[in-house]
Amino acid sequence: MMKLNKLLNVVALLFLGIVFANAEKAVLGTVTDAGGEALIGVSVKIKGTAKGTITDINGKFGLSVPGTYSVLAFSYIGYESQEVKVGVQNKLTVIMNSNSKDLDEVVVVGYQEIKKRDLTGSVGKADLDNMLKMNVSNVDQALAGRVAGVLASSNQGTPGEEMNIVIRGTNSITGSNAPLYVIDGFPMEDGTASTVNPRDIESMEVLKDASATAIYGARGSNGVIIITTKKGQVGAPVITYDGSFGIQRTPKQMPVLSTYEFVKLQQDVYYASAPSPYFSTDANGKKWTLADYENMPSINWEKMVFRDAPIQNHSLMISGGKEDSRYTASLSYFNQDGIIKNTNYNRMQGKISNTIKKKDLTIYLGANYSRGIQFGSTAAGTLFSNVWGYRPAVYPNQSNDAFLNDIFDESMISDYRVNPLLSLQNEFKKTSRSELQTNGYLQYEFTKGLLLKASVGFTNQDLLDETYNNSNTRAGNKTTANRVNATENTSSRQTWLNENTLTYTKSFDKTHNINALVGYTMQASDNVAYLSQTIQIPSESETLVMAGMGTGTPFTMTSSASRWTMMSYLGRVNYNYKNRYYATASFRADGSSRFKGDNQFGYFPSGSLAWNFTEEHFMKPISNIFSSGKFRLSWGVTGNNRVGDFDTYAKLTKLNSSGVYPFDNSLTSVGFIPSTLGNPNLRWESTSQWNAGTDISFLNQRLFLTLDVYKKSTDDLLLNANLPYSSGYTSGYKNIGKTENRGIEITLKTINIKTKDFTWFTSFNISFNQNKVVSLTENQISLLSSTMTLPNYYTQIGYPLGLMYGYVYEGTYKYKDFNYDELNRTYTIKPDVPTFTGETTAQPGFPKYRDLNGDGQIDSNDQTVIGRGTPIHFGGFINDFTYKGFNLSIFFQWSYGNDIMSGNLSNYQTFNGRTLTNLFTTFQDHWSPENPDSDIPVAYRPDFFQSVNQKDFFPKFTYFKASLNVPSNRIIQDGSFLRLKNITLSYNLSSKIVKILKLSKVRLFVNANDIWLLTGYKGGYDPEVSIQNSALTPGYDSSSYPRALSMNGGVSVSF
Amino acid sequence: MTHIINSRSIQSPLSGKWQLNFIKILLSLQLVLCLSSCSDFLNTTPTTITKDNYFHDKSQVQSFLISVYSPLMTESFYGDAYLTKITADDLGYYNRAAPAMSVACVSTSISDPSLKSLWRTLYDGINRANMLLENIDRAIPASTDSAAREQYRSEARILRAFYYFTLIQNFGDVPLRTQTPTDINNLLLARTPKQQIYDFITSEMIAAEPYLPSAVTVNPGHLNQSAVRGLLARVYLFRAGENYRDAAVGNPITNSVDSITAYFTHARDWALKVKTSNLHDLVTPYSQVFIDLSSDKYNSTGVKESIWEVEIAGNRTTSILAAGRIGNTYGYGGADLKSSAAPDADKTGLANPGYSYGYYYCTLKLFDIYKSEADSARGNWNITPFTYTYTGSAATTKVTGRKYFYGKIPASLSTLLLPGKTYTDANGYIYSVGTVTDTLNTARCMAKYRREYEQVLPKDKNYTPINFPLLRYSDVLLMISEAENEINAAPTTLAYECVNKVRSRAKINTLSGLTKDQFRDAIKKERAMELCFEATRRFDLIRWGGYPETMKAVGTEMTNNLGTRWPSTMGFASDYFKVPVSYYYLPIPSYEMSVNKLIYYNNPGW
Repeated sequence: MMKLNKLLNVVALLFLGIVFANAEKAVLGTVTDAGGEALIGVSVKIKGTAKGTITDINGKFGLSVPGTYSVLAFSYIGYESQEVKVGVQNKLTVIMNSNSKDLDEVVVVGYQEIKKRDLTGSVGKADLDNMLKMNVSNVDQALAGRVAGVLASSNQGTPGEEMNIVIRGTNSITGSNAPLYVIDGFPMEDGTASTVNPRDIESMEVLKDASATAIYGARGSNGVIIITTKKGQVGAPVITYDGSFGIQRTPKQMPVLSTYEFVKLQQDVYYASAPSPYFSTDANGKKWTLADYENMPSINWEKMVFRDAPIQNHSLMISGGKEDSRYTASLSYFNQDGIIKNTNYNRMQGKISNTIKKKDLTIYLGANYSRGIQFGSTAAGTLFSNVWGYRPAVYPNQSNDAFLNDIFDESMISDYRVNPLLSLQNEFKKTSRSELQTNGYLQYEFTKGLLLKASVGFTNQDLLDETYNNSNTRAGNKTTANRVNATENTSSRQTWLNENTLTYTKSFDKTHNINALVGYTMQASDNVAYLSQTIQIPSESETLVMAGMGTGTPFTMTSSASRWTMMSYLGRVNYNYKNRYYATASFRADGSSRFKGDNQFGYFPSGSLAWNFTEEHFMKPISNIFSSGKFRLSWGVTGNNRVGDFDTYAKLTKLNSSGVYPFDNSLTSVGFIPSTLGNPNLRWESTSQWNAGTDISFLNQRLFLTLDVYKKSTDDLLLNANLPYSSGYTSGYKNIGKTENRGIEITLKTINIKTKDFTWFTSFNISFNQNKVVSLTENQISLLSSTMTLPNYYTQIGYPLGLMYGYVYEGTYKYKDFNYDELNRTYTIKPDVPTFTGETTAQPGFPKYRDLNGDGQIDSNDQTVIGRGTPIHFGGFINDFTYKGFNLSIFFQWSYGNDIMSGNLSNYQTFNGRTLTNLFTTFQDHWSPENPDSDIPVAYRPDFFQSVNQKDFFPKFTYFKASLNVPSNRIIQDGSFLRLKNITLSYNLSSKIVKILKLSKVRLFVNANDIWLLTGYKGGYDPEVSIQNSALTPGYDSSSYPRALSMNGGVSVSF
Repeated sequence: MTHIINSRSIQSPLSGKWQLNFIKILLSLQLVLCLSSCSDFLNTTPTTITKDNYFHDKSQVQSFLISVYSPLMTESFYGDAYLTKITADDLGYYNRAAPAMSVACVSTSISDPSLKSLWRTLYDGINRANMLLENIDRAIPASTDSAAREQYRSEARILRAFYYFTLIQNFGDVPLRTQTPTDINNLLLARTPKQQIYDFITSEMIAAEPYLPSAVTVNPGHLNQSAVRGLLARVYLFRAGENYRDAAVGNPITNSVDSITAYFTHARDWALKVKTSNLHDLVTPYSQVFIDLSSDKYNSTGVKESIWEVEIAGNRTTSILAAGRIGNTYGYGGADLKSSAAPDADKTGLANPGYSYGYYYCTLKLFDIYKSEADSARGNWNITPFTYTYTGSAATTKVTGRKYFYGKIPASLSTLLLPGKTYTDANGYIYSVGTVTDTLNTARCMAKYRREYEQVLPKDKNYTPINFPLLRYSDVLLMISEAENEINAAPTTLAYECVNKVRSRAKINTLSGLTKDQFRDAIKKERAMELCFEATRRFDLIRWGGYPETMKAVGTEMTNNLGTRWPSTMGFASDYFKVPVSYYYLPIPSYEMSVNKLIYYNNPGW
């Protein structure tokens, strides 16, 4: 029927065109938006014909139409399409309304796009407009606080640092909790968004509940992030340049003792018989005393390693095309110097894509290449230990220059501390990551509603890690066994994917609407990795650096190769009745080479229901209150397959460490050792999730509320389980253990004021997640993990993951805890006061912990849970004001209820006997006979007792105290924070000025990121920290890279 | 592979109906093809070595055997921690005021990391041996090279037995696993009574003994017939003393009087086999044995005193990590010259004595034994008689010579070096001697393993190539004497012959005319002088009974002499001898108990 009409139309047109050519009529017109701005590239078509045009740079078009009965169809992305009858007029003015109506927004879900109105699952669409105001290199970095249920945090502030994204809590105890990234339809298990230029992104969706993620089956249980890049639009070519330049600075210092304070500390802890070198005699024969240091300046190491650092970002994009051929191309460059010297991140990226349409066939081809380079120290764990701890002044007979230019503090060579500045400047550590993604699809419409889509993608990822340690670095100096050394670590991964889907959409009498999808996919991935290291590189040269690697002695050489394949069948049916009652069911069967036999395939069903209750007649009377409203309910099962490619096999390894036995002194006797037991019965980890939610908008869409509650439980956890050592193995992957997460997510958006010139909206989201371990390895009740020497994290059945563990600090021992022997001037602890195990000789000022079991002895049995690493709730809120061309947006982000365990406090607010090590200024307040109420433990020297006459000194200490360094709540602080993450002020030049400049759009902006922070955390630079991050050990701080305050200005120009 | 054909073919510009049909055909073809080839697509071949694709020939067995030996030299066993943390006895002490969590500082616990590592290392070795034994017949079929096959099999069996023996000595009843586990979900294993494990150990060793090479054909790093015979004697002797520790901790006694005599007899007989083989003898001087161990030589004089050694080599400046810490943490050396710019850093001998932490110092008890027996040959080797002297600091540090403790001038210098004077040798090194008041002579480091003799250059600060003596002929002789005395009513001629051979080498008087008890005491003293710091003494104390009492007495002696014969700076050490009765058995590590729920009780007192 349709075809016949079409044919008749064409015939009629031809006929009319030839015979009644003089009936043609010329129409001129202008298309603008509601604000009167000209719209460029609007498609104008004569309805029923193939004839049409597009508007020019002034929004004008001219067209000759067959007659007054003609109808012109106007369409433009982001605007509601409309049809206008030509009638008798020759001049048309068409005003197009933007289709920003929230509910008509299109949302990309797995393998499909659907209208938000028709969603039955929980999907968070990221507000890219506001996120991109932050001017980040990687879209992830702007995700924190934007989408309810998504916890995005970085371990520290290193440029180019990748974000940890956890959606709806951690399922996996030892495995990865990172979501699956699907970039332009290509699922990437170890994916990040770092290869994509944020400006290229059209949309970003976070699939949260099982109804949404189950279509990704075995890889969906950590949630899915779908990123779709921009495709060419029909219209005249548009060239857009975005550029910005900014400056960054450290917002905080951790003050350490000044020279005078430092020398005084040395005086306090040293013996007269073994005085500190600070009291030695100088070349002029003068013996220095503390008083001589009174006005001596301090070397500020911290100031010397920091700098103000520039950041710049450029992006050029071309887009355009006609109905049958659309294209985009973009190039971008990002360069960020770190606020720590000699650190940098930069990325170059280019993308090109083409969509060709020929009749019912659409073909898309696209390619994206990016190369990101991270350079310099990551700081974590080491750098600031030296920065804070290095001596602030030289000895009387020591040259300042020599001290500053020597990699060692020669007098302290035995403990390997290195000159932080010199080491930092000499470290060569470069990680280059390049990635080429190509993908394409063809789409064919058999008949209306029946669509075949076949897509192919290929990704090549190369990673190159280069390290060169010259003689002025921590790892290559003269005291190291390896001396000058270089390491090259390279890996390469190739992945291909083929997906074929068939979609059928049909509406029966506008009452029963059906959409069905079936498909199957195949994917395979190969990777190889090589590592080589040479040591004792003879002649180091600043220009040679890595090129000098070949002159060294070969040291380590390793290689590995791996491969996985996957094959899946999937299907989904969406049904709705009068857009009022919805039902969706999906199913996926995934087969993976990582498993064997019957376990190869896993089956992942889901179902959901929704009710658009505002469509009911009884709601109509109150439609002025409820603009729209929907209830959703879903259930489904998803999986996780993140184990090694060959973990089902019993593997052997050749080990240069534990498989060596140098028979007859030969260093070639290296043997094979059994490395894993293998588990042929491994299968998918499966997560079942319930979700109930509602989306309601009130008061003529001035207020939107989305609320979700969920409960998910993960079974058959792929746990890298501890095995009894008596088996000969230490750990292995088993399907064992169970975790549970439940939570509430609320998103509220209000349009507070909306007038012609002024708009103010507020958007707010908050997420609560509660996590619980239900079971561990067979019969195991708890497990300990550590980021310090002693275990400091605890996991127990019935409690959340990642609890901090240790002793309960009760302050220092005070005089009242002791009996005083006047004759010998000694303090002996009272018998009823508990002492730390083996430390019956405790003295006033020593750390005191709670004797939980009351046995009089403080030992490992008195450790308990002392903090939590994960927040109780977190979220963000934004206020956005628009006045004419001006826009101001202010974004806050917070985290509440999480603690941080600070290794910094353990090392630098405690004098634990390391001689000549500087400490935080806060240590000044430590316990002393003059300050007997202090709860910061006393300063003392461990070999105090070696003095011949102990009686002359006070207090009298004998042994080194292990109790000083144990994990306790003394080093735990509240990590809650509220951060003013971004303020952006922008101005869109008025169309008049733009026209004069012969441009189509100009936006100027200034912004600032990480501006202000409200937190009680004083144990380090920033409370958003997790060094050695894992599900078991969140929130540990030790010499982390501070987050920079940055200020940027930039421009966006289109023409 | 059809997916690729699909995407390519599409580019051919077909139109209309044909196009449609073509796509339909392709689609259905693809679905069908895939369904039939799925299983192949998902079955990948491992690109890694697995148990199944290994064990194909003799060289692979040889290579795997290396890993069965390798636990011996790891840092958790003889490479370091076993010596510095676990096998502490009455003759030395951990010379640090800050006690490390260890048996040595009487501060061990169920979560002691060194016990956990030891446990793991021993079971790693057992598992490797099991795997080799299960696969050796597949790799070397019966028809080929049976001599090599049986030798490898025997080495694996003995090593496995030795690891179990170490487990018994330290932990008592332990899980006995004689096959590799196959099911990861079924790894729990209960403790097996130790007597049952003893039977397993001795029967394995006896069965393997005939297939081992003679001690003259291999270096002492390889297991040989003499080694396994000596080990059997050691196992039987330890087994004979089991009743002492069981009685002390309140365990049921599992040794009968008859069986004790039988064990002593077996011990004597196996030890005697070593003696009557006439392959072994004692080297003079005593120190040569240890100089050989330090300088990468095996019985350099040709006298095969060292029967079995832990092989350790290199300096960790290659990727093969075969160096250990003997001499560095456990032994004697000097300052670290490695960071020095001076050319001395890469020298051997006195110019660069190698860095040592000197964790082990000698107790007053050991001093007094050597003093009472006038044993300077062994005393001045095992306890350092000197310290190194230096000039300069940090980068300019250089060795200038040696300063001997008062009264410890070696015979070679006795005429040259006089108290209050110095002597400079041809190389410019200066020798001096201290006075009594310098410091108390008794604060001295154990010096059995001396880095000065290392030959591997450059000397690493922390890692050394020094081998460790697992079995020496003098030990065999003393075992004969001891067992012979226990079996008979009084010491026999053979008992005297053996002990006196050891004493003669040390140039001290010979024994005669002792009662059985006197002879037993003499043997205890003799073993201290001869075998101190060879990781056997703690187990001697245990099998002799009275281990905690003996230890406590050492601490008491220190306290009583504090500031007189014992330096006040060493006052802390007396705490390290307050050994409770529970130390007869070390605790099963808490890690094992947390995941192996079939071990539901620990040793008494833990």
